[in-house]
Amino acid sequence: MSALEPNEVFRLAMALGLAPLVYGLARQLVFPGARWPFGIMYGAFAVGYAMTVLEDLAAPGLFNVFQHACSTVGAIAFLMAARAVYVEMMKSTRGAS
Amino acid sequence: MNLALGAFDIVSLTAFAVALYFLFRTPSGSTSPFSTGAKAFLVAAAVVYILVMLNDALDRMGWMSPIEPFEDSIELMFMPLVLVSVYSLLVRQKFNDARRINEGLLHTGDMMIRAIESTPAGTVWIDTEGHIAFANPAAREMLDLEGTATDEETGHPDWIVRTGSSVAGRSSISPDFSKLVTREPLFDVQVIVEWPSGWRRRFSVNTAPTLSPGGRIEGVIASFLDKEPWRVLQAHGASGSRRGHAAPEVVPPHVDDEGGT
Repeated sequence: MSALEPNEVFRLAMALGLAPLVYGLARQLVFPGARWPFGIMYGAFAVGYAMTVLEDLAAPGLFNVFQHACSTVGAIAFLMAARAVYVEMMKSTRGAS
Repeated sequence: MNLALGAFDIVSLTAFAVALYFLFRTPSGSTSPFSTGAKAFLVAAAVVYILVMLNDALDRMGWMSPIEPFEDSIELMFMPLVLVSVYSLLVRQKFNDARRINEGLLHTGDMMIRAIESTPAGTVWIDTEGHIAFANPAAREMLDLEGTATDEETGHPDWIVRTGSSVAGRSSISPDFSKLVTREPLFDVQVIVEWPSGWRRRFSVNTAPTLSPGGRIEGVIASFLDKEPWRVLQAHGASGSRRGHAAPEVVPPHVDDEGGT
């Protein structure tokens, strides 16, 4: 088990620190369907980043799978957020025309 | 283990590819909350992650070598890119909402001003000192006010204003409308305005107080209805106008209808 390097600490702090910030911003969006996917996406990627940094601290193989699983959840949430924004914008475009 | 990792990567790659499709199809523009900038940041974020997932394959093809030293940093860019995009969406939404509300308020205000200007009832705003600070055209005609509605100097310093007993249970005489400035709305208050030339006019007045955000009274909106001006003129035999000009011809309605009696 090795100690974290400064740049790893920075990455970990950024990953975990940005997640609540984006979730807070996403919650205020008027695109209701995009709120929770953005939140899930950031949560999943934050945990995935943390896994990358911390993989040296425990069983590397298990952490690798967990990190990929988190990234997959994040990717699906990203897709759902993109779809929600698409649907809302199409609705508002139709409403305006 | 490797099979699981491969399956995760395929699902992620497919999800990002479909997300890119939606992003490209989403309408954006300067008036939309989803600006072209926000769209570009989200597309860049998706491309960054696809690049990271295809890292091994691209590495084998030798395409990743120029950006190899920045590989970790590129992966980290995903979060800030989406963050900037979401923040941009939010700010534009708030800005558009504020603009829509402002336009609605301006439209409502314009409608109210036109309604006040066109109503045959005299409408004035009286400040806490009893002075008229705004008067619509009907009120300017009824009260013979000089100047325009936006002039500060409206009213006559030599008026005698008699207020009926429905205000505070007693009648009063004052040179202004200060007796009408009350926190409670008033209905059908009888007010007689006398000019130095002998002109008198009797009005039925309704008022509604206007309050500051702190609840302090700033004045009242008062609506005047003229009560039989021709009879008042006859009763007092005034020969001149309110300012000493020739008196306007005021004829009782029934006389006019009969063609003269």
